[in-house]
Amino acid sequence: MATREAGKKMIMLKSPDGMEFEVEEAVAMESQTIRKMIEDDCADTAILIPNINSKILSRVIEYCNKHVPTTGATGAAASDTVAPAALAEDLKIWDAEFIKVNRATRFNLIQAASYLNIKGLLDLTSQTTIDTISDNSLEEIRSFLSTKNDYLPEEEQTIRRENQWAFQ
Amino acid sequence: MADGGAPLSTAGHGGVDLISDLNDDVLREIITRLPLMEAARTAVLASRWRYLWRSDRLVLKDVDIHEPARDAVVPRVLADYPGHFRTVILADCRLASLDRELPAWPRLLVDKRTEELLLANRWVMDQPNPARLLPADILRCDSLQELTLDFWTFPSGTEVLLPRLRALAIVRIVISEQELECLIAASPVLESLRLTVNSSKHVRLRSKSLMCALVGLLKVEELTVVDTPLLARLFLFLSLPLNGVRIRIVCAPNLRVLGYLNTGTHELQIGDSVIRVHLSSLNLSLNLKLFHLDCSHI
Repeated sequence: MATREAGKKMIMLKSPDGMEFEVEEAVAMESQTIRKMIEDDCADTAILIPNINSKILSRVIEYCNKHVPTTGATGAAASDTVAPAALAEDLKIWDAEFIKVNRATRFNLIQAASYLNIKGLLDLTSQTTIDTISDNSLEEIRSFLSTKNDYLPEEEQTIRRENQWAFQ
Repeated sequence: MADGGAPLSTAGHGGVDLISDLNDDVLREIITRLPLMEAARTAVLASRWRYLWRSDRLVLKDVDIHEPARDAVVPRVLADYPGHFRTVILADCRLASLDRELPAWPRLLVDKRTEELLLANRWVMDQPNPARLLPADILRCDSLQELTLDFWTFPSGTEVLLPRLRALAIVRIVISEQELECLIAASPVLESLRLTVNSSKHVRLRSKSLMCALVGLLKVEELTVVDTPLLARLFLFLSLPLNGVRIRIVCAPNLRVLGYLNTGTHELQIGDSVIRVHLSSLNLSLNLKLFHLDCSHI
């Protein structure tokens, strides 16, 4: 396992398109999936992250870097010196900027957050999608999700009847 | 705000079905964040979505269902939902109607492994409103982690078993001092407790797991904390200037925050030290970091 700075363990993450990212172990462990690999000692060398290309993986690492609980030079948690409310507000603003991405990137981020099990990123990406599709017509939602209606008209009527209460 | 301001109706990427790349777990993550009615409507998007909205655990918040359909829809969703219940919030529906449509609803909540439950009786203006008897099954729902009860009569002589309950809020409950003590004792992992305007005049907290308690003092004459080793924060609220309350802390070695005390009418006893009115009598061997006194009545 690589080490760069004294006291900071580094982990190598590899994307399927061959890019390598060296990150602090604490940052990588924002992902519960990677945390488990490290704790189970399955992460001696580089960890291959399947299905997540380098562009998305670098965004995920950027998110984890921002959200990892930071420690100052004295080792005291940052939250001891900075008011927690100010810190939370700063993160919220940062998140809002971070998620200003196109639809395909956002879906890729949802998928990556789900696979890597990063709850904060999953909440952020999913909720942004919900905010977008909520209160829109089904046709608009289909269009946004680029999903095709494959029901026959009579099938769709049956399903509408099954869930009639939801259409009232 | 689709795509940083682009209108939602923007056509999909050259007909490529982006969403088919997402696995069902991801779609479920999205659906479970929708209000229930909107989630159910996704069944007609495409065949892949048909059962997706009900393939995870149920999150039912009655206020998400529009009136006037709410009273009819709540029992139907509870009865038809195939999976377990994660959250059931019944804050604003007619429970009399639920009793009629789905008489076994309390048992169903137990069988479906409900984790978070809020049951609030609706107070109807200008009508006699006796607090209904709480169904005893609720007190033996061993999957519950969070429970809020509002405006009920506690069923006397009921066996209580809440082995996973971490947070309990009881509001406007007709309950005796002993029943309250038994309820807390039957919740071995309880961490957070809120008591608001219940009928018991004497409140006794005794818990090996409790870390935070909020106690509304409106009807309380005496609050005693005995043998609650993990209690770190005790918040007192809803105190009237004229109701004298005696607060006794017998054993809470980890108590860090205590407030707000009204020194004019509250009497605080910690161990053998009694504090009545004057701040100068504060001479405590406690580790309190924050100690809030309301001095406006001195």
